Amino acid sequence: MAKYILKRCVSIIVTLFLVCTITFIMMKAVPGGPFTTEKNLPPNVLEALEEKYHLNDPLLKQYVDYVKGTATFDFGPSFKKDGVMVSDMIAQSFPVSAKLGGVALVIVLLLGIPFGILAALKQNKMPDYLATIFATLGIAIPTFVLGTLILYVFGAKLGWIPTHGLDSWQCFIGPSISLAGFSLAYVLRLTRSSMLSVTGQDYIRTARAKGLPERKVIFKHALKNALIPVVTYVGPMTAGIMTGSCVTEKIFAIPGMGLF
Amino acid sequence: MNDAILKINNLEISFYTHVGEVRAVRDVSFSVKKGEILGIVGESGSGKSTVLLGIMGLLQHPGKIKAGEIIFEGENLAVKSNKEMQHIRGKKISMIFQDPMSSLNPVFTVGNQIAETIMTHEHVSRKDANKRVLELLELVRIPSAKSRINCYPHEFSGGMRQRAMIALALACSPQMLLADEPTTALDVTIQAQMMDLLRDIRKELDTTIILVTHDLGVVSEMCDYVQVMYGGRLMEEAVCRDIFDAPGHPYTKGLLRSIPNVKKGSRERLKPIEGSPPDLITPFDGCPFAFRCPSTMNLCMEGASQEWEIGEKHRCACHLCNPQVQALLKEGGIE
Ligand SMILES: Nc1ncnc2c1ncn2[C@@H]1O[C@H](COP(=O)(O)OP(=O)(O)O)[C@@H](O)[C@H]1O
Ligand code: SF4
Ligand SMILES: [Mg+2]
Repeated sequence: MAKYILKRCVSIIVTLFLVCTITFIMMKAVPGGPFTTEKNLPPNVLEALEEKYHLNDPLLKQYVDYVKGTATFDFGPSFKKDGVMVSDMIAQSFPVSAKLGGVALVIVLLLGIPFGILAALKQNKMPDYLATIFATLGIAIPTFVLGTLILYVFGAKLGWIPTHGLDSWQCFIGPSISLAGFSLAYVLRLTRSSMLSVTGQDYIRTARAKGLPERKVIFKHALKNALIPVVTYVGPMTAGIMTGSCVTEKIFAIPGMGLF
Repeated sequence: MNDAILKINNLEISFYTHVGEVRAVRDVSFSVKKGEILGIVGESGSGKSTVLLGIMGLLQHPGKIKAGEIIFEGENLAVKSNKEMQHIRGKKISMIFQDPMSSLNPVFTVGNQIAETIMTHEHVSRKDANKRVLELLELVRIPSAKSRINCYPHEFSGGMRQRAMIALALACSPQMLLADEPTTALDVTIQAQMMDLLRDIRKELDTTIILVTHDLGVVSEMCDYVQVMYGGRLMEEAVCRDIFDAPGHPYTKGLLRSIPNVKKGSRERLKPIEGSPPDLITPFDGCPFAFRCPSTMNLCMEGASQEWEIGEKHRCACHLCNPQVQALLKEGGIE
């Protein structure tokens, strides 16, 4: 086990290094730069800017500086906001995104898994149909539509929830639901299909043949197997949700990571 | 026959599918004596597994016991609820399945799965249960059992998994063991070991065994009593020797012709039974073998035969065994 964890840690470092390198190469390969706009800047201004951000250093030096900086969490000054360090921006906005993401994650897990199990146990009955309709809608409706709809109906028209910011707990309702929507639907569907395939397995019949009560057959023998694909999906999903979504944060005017 | 441990009367099991009722078991009656090994043979699809699952109360939707009784220790299992059956399954009657590769739960250790059965039915501590698990693994001759107890199923070979399944089935010393083709998925040498094991278990623990198989060789070595099943019905039943030496039913004769006779070293060609097993979804009340039988009569299409006594403990469900029909045949008054 320890060996396995160590192996994974090494592979994380290697992966991150490769990601940095490829990003760097790609950014340098495309034409244009951070200061390219519709109006052409006067050459001397552009030169001054490039000087300031070390963009006229030799490429290799830029690359080494970049990797060094990234490794020490020093991402340099922002190109967009004058005089603000990128790491400070992250330090400020990440907790906001993470808090919202945390709420969304709880919604996804607390509703997605139990209702997925319920749908599987009541296959082709009312609860299953309702869950399927819900999941299909959740997957089909894009976040910007869902978010806008929630904001318009419950925020603007009905006035039940605040339309922006994250100052009170009510503020979380709209953005967290719109952030959770897709993943919730996906987790529900995944749990349902995984549970259905597991309950048809021979070892579930064995569990029943042992005389186990149905509760144990389902929640111990079936669930432990059925959750394997769900957990696999929830890992990357957590990262996605916690680091903020541009769409949701823009719609609800939340000062999170997604805004940058 | 008061020493019957299990008595099945006129059992009917059907699967109610969207395309119609599949009558998988039709009017089956038999009894099993305490301590005997009963073999049930027949081609696949003849309803053998369905009978066993019916006894266990494990029929999967849309299967239902439509009629009949399953009397075990004076109680009718056919009318028991799932909850009541939980106290019988694994404790009084156990079952082992065809495919050992998929019959154990991959996410629990083998020892854990066996201990779970014990702790479900008996109030014993984890420690005592584990001690029993070790004894069981030794009983089914798993080498270096002590170190295997915490292994996961994927660390076991097919034969070892089937041994573990047998250990699991024996965990609460059940009166009866139902084995559904326990060796079909294993290779031949392992098959023989497994059969030895089952025989020893019967000897040591006096467990009654119903052994379902389509392998007549296994039957001839293992069983005291044999039933031949076809198209959801019992065709013939007799003590083991008589099935091989004096088969009465055309289907049994066909089955025997279709297996190699190694003993005599004969060079005769094997004769497969022509045709394929009947589709149980079409309503047909005649003899299920009528479409493949070499001696089908008009009578056979109209109704299935009752069971005729053709010898001591030897019954056969074929119209040819009806004394009246035999008399008519002699006179040539029948076709
Ligand atoms: N779940 C099911 N749904 C519909 N029909 C089934 C089902 N299970 C078994 N059957 C039918 O029951 C018959 C007997 O099957 P089975 O008991 O598995 O035969 P055997 O064990 O002798 O090979 C088969 O014809 C099969 O089509
Ligand atoms: S009843 Fe008729 S069809 Fe059936 S086995 Fe006997 S002779 Fe053949
Ligand atoms: Mg079968």
